[in-house]
Amino acid sequence: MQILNDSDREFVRNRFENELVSEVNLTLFTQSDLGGLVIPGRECETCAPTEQLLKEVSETSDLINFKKLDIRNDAEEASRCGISRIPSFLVSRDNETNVRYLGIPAGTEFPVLMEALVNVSSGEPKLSDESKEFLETLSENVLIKTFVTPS
Amino acid sequence: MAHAMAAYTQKVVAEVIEVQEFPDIGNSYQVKGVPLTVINEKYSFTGAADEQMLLEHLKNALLESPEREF
Repeated sequence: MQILNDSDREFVRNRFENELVSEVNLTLFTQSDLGGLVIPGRECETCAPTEQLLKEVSETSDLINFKKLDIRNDAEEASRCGISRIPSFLVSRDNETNVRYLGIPAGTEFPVLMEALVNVSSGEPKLSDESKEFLETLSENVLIKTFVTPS
Repeated sequence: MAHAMAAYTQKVVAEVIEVQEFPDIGNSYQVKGVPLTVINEKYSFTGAADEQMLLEHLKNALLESPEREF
């Protein structure tokens, strides 16, 4: 079943057509489909809908590359990306791992995903000169965690 | 907005956490209201922040002593 309705899809497609500049990767860490089998302790209610949503988003533009990895089979890559929970995904141009999302970007979080794709794709996010100057002065990594709910 | 900064420089690692899906993470950060932003695991603020506000918080976080320890 589709998550995005036709008008959402059209809106997303139009925005990406106008604003995506270069290819951008959506890399989802999830668990492989166990054919309906549920292993206690490995339940993941939002893994399937997150995969479905990201796939639908990637289908709205040829510039979005969707890739699905398994948190256990691809443990080395998960570790490189700082991912230990599922569902999680990265938005990247190349192999960067610094734009991360844990959980499904539903509801009010969906525009945040769109914005991230546009920003990463352009490589030139809409930031003030003051912000850019400050960011240029950073000598060490800064970790910003934002806790949200979808409503 | 943190994602925009992360898109600008890899020095910024921006992680959005859907707290209803990961209540254990929320508990460990004592999340009581959202959005809650935590910078470098020590400085935090609640509420939506525009670019300018986030910038000020970042400056404070990097300059000041920790407000909260997790």
